[in-house]
Amino acid sequence: MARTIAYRGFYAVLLLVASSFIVFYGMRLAPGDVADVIASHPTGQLTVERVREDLGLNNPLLVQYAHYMGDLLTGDLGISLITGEPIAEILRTSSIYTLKLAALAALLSIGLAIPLGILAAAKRNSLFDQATMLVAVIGMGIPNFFLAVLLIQLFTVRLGWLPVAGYETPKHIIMPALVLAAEALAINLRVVRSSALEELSRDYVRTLKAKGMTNSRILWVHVLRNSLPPVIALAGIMMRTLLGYTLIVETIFRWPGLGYQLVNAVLKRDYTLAQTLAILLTAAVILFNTIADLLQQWADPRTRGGSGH
Amino acid sequence: MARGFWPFGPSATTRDRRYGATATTRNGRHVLVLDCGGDVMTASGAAPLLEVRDLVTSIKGRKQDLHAVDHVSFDVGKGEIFGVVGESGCGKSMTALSILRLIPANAAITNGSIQFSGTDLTRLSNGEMRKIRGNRISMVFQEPMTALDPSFTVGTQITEVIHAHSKVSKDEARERAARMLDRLGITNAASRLDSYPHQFSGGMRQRVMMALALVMNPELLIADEPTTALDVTIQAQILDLIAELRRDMGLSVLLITHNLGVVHEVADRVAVMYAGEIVEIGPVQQIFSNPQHPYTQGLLRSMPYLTERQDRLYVIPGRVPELRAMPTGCRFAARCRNRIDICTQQHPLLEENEPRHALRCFNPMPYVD
Repeated sequence: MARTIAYRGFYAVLLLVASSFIVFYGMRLAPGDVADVIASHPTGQLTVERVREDLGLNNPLLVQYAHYMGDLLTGDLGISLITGEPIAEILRTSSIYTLKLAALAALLSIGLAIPLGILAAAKRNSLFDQATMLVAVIGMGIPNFFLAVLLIQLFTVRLGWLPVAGYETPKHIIMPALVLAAEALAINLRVVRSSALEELSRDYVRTLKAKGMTNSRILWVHVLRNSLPPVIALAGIMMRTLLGYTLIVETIFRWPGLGYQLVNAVLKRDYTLAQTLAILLTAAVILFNTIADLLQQWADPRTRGGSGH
Repeated sequence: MARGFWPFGPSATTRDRRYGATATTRNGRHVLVLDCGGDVMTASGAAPLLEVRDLVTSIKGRKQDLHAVDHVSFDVGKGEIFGVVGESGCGKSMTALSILRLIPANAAITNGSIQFSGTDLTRLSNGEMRKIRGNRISMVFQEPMTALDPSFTVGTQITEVIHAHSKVSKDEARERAARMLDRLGITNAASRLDSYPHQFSGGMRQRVMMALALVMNPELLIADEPTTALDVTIQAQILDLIAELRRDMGLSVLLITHNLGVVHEVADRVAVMYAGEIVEIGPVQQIFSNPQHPYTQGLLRSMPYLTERQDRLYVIPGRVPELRAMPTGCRFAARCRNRIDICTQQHPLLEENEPRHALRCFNPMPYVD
């Protein structure tokens, strides 16, 4: 286990360095320049050349990269080139929003998928099972930006129940969370169902019946517990995907999380903010992958190894 | 059988049990017809623990329902070990599962009764049946590797039986579980309660299975191929254990096996099943020393013996007929060396030919090795 963790850690650092390099150069390869944005500000008297000089944009790219990474590693995240706000401050506030949204979406997708999937397996081929699987197919097939539009059409335009976008009230989180959770929920539903079906056909289920266990105990204690490893294995991958989708969902619903900030920063060529956010998100994805691997080993006692426990 | 193979003689008790079935006359002989109705009582007047009568378990087929268990009748006395032998697919496991009503969803008991201590199990509600399972009737299965839940400790799996059937504290349940494991020969029982099934060997796992089954002190144990997946020394230990439990706890055992050696070693009486029917039934001593049905004779002939040099093992020719294509006559006729004309035309009934020994055959022949 220790070896696995060490190997994973080394690999993660390597990946992080490589991706920071790509992010940094990628930002500058894109057409357009932050200096244009700043200099075009109506009240400003700055020339584009002046701005470029001030920001060090005339230095060679490698020098800029070294400078940036040096600051990043010493904990100096700098300020937004557009608003002048400290990036650490932006990260702090927006990461809380993203965390709230992602946590709710994860909770929704797993918390609903497990009971519904197990019930669907127990009532295989029933109307309930078929309805659940239909929802799953739709959830997997529909792109989330389209689902967002459909939900806004229904809940905001037709019914007027939910606000279209923003973050001011608790109601604002409902639609983005639903959209973010939809695909993960659909995939989890199918995984839980097929996993539970497999468990239901195992010999130990017959033993449990012969022991006089109630069906609900067999289902909600034994089958549930044994159906979990694939779901847990998937949860890490899900978190990564969820994080990626926050870019789309937060932008649509104007939810001021990391994804929303990143999209805005890229559009405004706010180099420092955009690259910091991108590197941070990459780090989060790498972290989730690593956690997912370790979780999977924990989930199945047979893979923990050794004769003790 | 003067084979000198069996480690000890059959331990059949001499309880006198007689079938009070309907009497009939055939070919001038007075016979008892066993598989059609009538209360079968023991001679002493005490009812046996388990009475299976005319049991039919059908599997729903596309065209017709197939009788996996076809009018099977037998009883198991208190403290008796009753063996059911037959090859794969003969319906012996289905018979066992029918008693606990654990048959697959596409099967159903369509005829007959299963009297257990005066209650017809086929008429109980699911809830009532559940109170009997694991409590008064228990079952151990063939596969000790997969029959236990891999994700829960052995202690949890034993104590949940106790909690399901009695109101005791957690500590007391744990103590009872530990005592049962200890009784079944597992060392350090108390600490082993926290082990997972994969941390036990095959033989030990089968002991854990037995502990699960016996912890509520059941009256009847149904053992479905309990030793088949184990190597021979462990097999012998488990069989000794079953014999010992019968002696000490007065346990009745329904032993399902394809292994005649196992039956000979521990059972008192035995039923031989073929294609869903009982073809011969009687005390183990009689069946082994004087088998009457050609199928039973074939099974005995096809057993390997350590004391004799055999180049080739005897094999019963042909195959078991398929359920959907059962012959109208004797089901064994196509493979039988004693076949006569009537065998393919009429279905033979299970008839008593000597006290307590019955067979389903028109043309039995004396057994020669």
